[in-house]
Amino acid sequence: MLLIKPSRRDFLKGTGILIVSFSLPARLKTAFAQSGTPANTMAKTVALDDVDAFLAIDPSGGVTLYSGKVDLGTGIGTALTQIVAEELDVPLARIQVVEGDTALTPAQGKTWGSLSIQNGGVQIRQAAATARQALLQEAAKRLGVPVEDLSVERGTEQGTVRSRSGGKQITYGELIGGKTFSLKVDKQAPPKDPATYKIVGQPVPRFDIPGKMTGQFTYMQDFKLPGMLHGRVVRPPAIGATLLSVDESSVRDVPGLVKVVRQGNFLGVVAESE
Amino acid sequence: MPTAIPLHVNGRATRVTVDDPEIPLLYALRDNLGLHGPRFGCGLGQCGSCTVHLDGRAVRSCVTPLSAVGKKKIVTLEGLGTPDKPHPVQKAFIAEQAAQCGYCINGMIMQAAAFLASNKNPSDGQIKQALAYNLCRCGTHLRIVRAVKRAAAGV
Repeated sequence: MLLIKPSRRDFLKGTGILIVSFSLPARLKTAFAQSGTPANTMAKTVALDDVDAFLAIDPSGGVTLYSGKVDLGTGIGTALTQIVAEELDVPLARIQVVEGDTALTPAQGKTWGSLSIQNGGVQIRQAAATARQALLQEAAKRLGVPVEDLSVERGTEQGTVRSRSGGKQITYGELIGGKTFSLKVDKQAPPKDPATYKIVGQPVPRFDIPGKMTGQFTYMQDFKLPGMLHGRVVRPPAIGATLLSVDESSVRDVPGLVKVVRQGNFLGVVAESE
Repeated sequence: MPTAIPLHVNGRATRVTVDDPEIPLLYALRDNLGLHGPRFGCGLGQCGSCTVHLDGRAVRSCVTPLSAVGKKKIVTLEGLGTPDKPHPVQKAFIAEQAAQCGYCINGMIMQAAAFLASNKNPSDGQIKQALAYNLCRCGTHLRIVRAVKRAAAGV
C-alpha cells in the first residue's frame, strides 16, 4: 500500500483512526472532540516526566490513558488499563486508551521484546500513583481535612475521595475534571501495595476481542486516506531471477494507472484502485 | 469501462461499480463496500484470512473473481453477527479469547461456522483438519480448537 502524505490536520479531522477507544461510543466522541482537534493536539504534553503526558480526567471522572506502547494483539491495551484502574480505583469501563500517536502519547520507546508492561506499564503506574497522590492532597485542601483521613473509594463511576471520619466526599471530576495536572511524575509517589490489588492480576477479557471477532476492529490495513493510491509488486517467477525488460505499454490501458516503478530488479505498479 | 455488478451481501441487495469484473471478490467487499471482516493475507488463497460464505460455503474471496459470484448470497464476518448479537461461533471465540492480533480470525470463524453447519459434533481431530488450511502465526490454535468445540456444544 502506498500512501500520499496527507496533512496531519486532514488525517486527524477526517478519520479519528488514531484514537483507539475501548469504552462506550459516546465517550469516544467526547475524547476525540477534545484530543483530535489540532489546537489541543499542539497543546498536549508528551514529555515522559509529565503526568499529563499519560493521563487526563474529564469532568465526569472518565479517565484517558495515553500510552506510547501499542497493542499489537498482545492485550497490553487491556493490561495497561488495569494498571490505571487499580492505581486510581476507577472501573475499567471508565478508562479509554489512546495508543501510539506521537502528537498525543509519550515516547515510551518501541513496542517490542515483551517490555510493554514491565517498562511501559511501570512508567504509567508511576504517573497514576502521582495523580492519585495529587488528587488526595487537593481533596484534603478542598474538604479541610488531613490527607491521612482520606481514601479513594474503590470502583465508583466518577472516582470518589472520601474522608474516613466525617463522611465528606469529593469526586475526581470536581477536583481536576477537564484541567491538567501540571505536575511532574513523582518517583517517590507510592504505588499500591500489590497485596491489595483487586484488578491487576485478574484475568480480564480483552477489550479488543469482540470487535476483532465481528469485523468491527480497524486494522492498519483498513485505513482509507484522502488521495490514497495502491501499489503492487510484480514478483519474479523464481528466486534470483533478473529483470531484463519491461513493456510498459502492456499496462497502459489499466484504468487509474499512475506509474510503473522500476528500480534494478524491483518492479511495481501504482494505481488509484487496488 | 466501469461496470455495475449486483451483489447480495449480508442480507441486502447492493451493487458495486468496478473497472474490471475479474477483480477478486475481496477487493469489491473491502474497497467498494467498506467491509473489514474479510482480510487480505496472502492473496493466493493459501492462508484463509479472506474467507467469506457463498451460499453458506466457505470460499477464499481473494481468488474468487467478482464475475463468478452471480446470484449467490455472500455473508461476511460482519453479516454473521455483531458485538451485541454475535453468531454462536463468534460468541465462543470471544468466550475463549481465541485471538492475539486477530488478523486470521475472520477465516477461522467463517471456516468453522461453515464446517459446524455440516458437522454438529466434531472431534478435536476433525476440527483441526477443517482448519488445517487456515494459517495463524500468533499461536492461539489451542484456544481456537476449544472455541469451535464450545460453539458445537452450544455452550
